[in-house]
Amino acid sequence: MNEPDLSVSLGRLRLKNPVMPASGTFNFGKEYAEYFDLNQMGAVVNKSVMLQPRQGNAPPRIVETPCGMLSSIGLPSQGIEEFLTVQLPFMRALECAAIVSVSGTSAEEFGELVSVLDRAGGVDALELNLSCPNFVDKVIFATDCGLMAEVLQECRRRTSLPLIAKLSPNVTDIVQMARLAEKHGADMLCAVNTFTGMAIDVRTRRPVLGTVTGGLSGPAIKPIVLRMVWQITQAVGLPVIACGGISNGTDAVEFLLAGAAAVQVGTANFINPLAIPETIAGIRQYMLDSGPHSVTEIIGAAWRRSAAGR
Amino acid sequence: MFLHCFWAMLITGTILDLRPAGPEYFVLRAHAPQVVQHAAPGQFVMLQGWGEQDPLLRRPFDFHRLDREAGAFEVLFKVKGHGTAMISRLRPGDPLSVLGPLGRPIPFHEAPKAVGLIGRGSGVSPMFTIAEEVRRRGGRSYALVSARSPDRLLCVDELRPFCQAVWTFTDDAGGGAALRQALETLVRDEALDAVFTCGSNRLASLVAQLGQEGHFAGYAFMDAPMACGVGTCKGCVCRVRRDGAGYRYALACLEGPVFPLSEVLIE
Repeated sequence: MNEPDLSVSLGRLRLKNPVMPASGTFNFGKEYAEYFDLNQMGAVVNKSVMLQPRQGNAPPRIVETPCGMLSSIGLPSQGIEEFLTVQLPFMRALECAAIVSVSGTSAEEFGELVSVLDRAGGVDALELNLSCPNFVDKVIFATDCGLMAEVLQECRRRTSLPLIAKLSPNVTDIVQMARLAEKHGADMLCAVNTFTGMAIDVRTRRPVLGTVTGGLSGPAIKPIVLRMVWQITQAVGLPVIACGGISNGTDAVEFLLAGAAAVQVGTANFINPLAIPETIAGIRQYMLDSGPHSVTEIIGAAWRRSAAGR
Repeated sequence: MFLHCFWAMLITGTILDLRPAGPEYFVLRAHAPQVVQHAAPGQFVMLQGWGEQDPLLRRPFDFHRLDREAGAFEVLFKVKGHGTAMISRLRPGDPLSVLGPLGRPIPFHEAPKAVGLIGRGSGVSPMFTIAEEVRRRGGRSYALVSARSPDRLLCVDELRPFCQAVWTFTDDAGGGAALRQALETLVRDEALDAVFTCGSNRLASLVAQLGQEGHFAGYAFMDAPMACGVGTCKGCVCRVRRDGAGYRYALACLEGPVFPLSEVLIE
């Protein structure tokens, strides 16, 4: 049987397959190198690096919820200096695309990180984490049109590398935010970061998380994210990387059919260190069983079925 | 700094036995030779005994017993919620997904003379592997087992063969003050190298305090909500004193779960 072609192109960024880790669930790869060959991945994505070292939020930082988890980690970071000498060389040495996730507390800080990484070399794309719900001051850039535009413009000005805008689901109209990102220079979109939520301990009568609210991730959010990807990809021309509850090959195929050009596996890594290679194998098996030769042919295939009224 | 367990692996083990150990407490014995082979006291495993997405996360357990000859390990746990309830309903022969061994092994003194072991409730669990290791190295263990009530004093008879002495304390018999007194006497009469404590912040604080006054190294098993067990979720932080001033966050899964009480802050 013909080996299916799993490669995808996201604008200028070409990946050997559409599967990569979600930022913040994979550190920068080292921990999972013991469990599988990281070179199998379409890309590696680090936990967002900040300009200065940061400690992150006060515990408790995580709590399990039905089919999901709430987390409020608060972007602990080793800072860009250590990132350039330790983490980036590791990512660069892998035989897959190196996507560097950055986060800042201001447009200026985002811009500075982008400049440094632009000069560093060996970075294939930059993912702008505009949507962490757990900064101490709780500012989510991607929920404010003005702030998001400002950050994107500043970053665009400083690099020609492909820029991925990671959107927040905590908005009224995700399509409007996607259009705004497109207008202000994003080359790709990542949809989406976590949903803000909270849990209360009925015994202590207090919020469980140290920061009261956190971000919901895992299978619980998958149907909502699928709907968002479905809407965004039909409204905006940019390639979309889907992120939200994807745990296996079937989940990934659903998102590709909904229009995503690639997928990120996040919370599933915590439970199953082999979630990424199993997702890649699952897509391949789907293609062997019932797909066309190239995975690009199933991207958005569900729109056509929907339009044709099945 | 040792920040990574290089022997950790993901395997499917088999449940050999699951027996009640007290009200809502169970001991699970599983066959997982690849994991047991490299496991050491102080380390833990992340277990999943279901194929569904709810409950979502694995559950962490300290090693209760390590049987290298049989390639088996045991964990002792209390049914606290959905996940532990599901594990308590598994049957011999059932598959069990095992991720481990995780965490940092206890840094034993080469030839420990005497150690104190203090466990409350299911916190007595990891004291067995420590007592065994201390004996293997030619030392003596003294165990102080604490619980809310007599029926929650777990596995005490099984612990006796590994220890020079085992004392029990229950809350209904004024356990807190009696335990403190017993520990003070022990510290005075025996040249303890180390004291390990698990299952109670109150007891950890007591050991920290006596450790400062006495001349032993105190250690506590820290319990922090944990998703991955391998250092990527950054969830399981404990505050540890930083050289100079203030504190930093340390991941219990990588730097722990056993922390020196001279460093970790008990909250």
